[in-house]
Amino acid sequence: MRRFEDAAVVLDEATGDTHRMSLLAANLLDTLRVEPLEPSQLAARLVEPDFDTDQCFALLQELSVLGLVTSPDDDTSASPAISC
Amino acid sequence: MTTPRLPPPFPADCLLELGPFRVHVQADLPEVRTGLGLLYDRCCLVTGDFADYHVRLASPRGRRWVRPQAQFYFDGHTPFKPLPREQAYAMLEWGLNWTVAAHAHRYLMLHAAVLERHGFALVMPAPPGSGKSTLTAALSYHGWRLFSDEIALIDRRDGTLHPMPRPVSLKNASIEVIRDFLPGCTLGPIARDTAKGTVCHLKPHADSYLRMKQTAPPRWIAFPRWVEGAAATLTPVPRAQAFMRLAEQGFNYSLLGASGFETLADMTASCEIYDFQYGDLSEALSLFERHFTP
Repeated sequence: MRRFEDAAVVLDEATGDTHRMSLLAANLLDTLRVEPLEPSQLAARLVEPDFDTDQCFALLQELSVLGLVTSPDDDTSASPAISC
Repeated sequence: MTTPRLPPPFPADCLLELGPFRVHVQADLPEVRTGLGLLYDRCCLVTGDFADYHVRLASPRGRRWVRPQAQFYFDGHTPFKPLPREQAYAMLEWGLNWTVAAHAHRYLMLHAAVLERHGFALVMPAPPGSGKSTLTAALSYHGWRLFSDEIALIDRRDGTLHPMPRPVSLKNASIEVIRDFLPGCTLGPIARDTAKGTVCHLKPHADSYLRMKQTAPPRWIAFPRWVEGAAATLTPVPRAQAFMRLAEQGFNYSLLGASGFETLADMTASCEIYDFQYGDLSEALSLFERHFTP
């Protein structure tokens, strides 16, 4: 991952794809690398006071691009475990 | 009245030094030898046993007289279908582009023009039709040293840009634009009815050939776009957004994995980055002169 002033870019080494994500999502991704969370744990973490609903939704969408979580639009019962 | 003397054609079998590469060229067709003599400086002709690539331009078997064709060979293979003979010289240039883009993976390669001034490189990535080559041609005769019109060669060890000076490919209306803008410039054979329309190549300034070994670190990135009647404007581009746009122009970005990612990220982090819109070459040059100064 490389951070710039406006956003971060991430190389998904498994697929070779490159993604751009907000710095907020990049910070969350770093946290997940240190502390892998199950989807329910992540959801609980995201609704802590620092994040409002829109931010939670946007963050989950960004992480879903990397295949780290299932998109909030999807059936959460099918969510894979989060591992970075 | 005197007719300008044309430079002599290159030999039918020659070794060309093109920046970091040595290319063994077999030019069976006389118009290709004439084109090489016209558009390359003789300092490109070298001697030796080793070549990075072996290419050949010849008539395919059975198509020398009836609707004659030209065929590009790479290491004896034919990666492309033959083209009409009138497009032989252009086919050599396209074949050389492909040869480098498909094989020189020790570099991160982007589809971009690169020029140098004051020891620093300007990288101009752009899709076809953006006015990149026209702008590059004009800049290369107004204080900027041409590294390449097509392929940015980025050294993955230290991020420097390597020159590979070769003729600038001009298409359609830009041929007359450059003929008017650079009176006295040397233009090569005209290839009509190609997949890209009418194509003609411009000989680079002699300085570009003579200094083909002098690399430069990247300092500026500009995404050029020609818009009829538009004023010349530079608009800063956020870096992460620029990174994604640069990656889209990569010839081998995906192939290089983490190394390509880091090389591109380093370049993105170290450069000033702009969208550049222009409608008039003189105005564009004037803005570049004022703005791109270390």
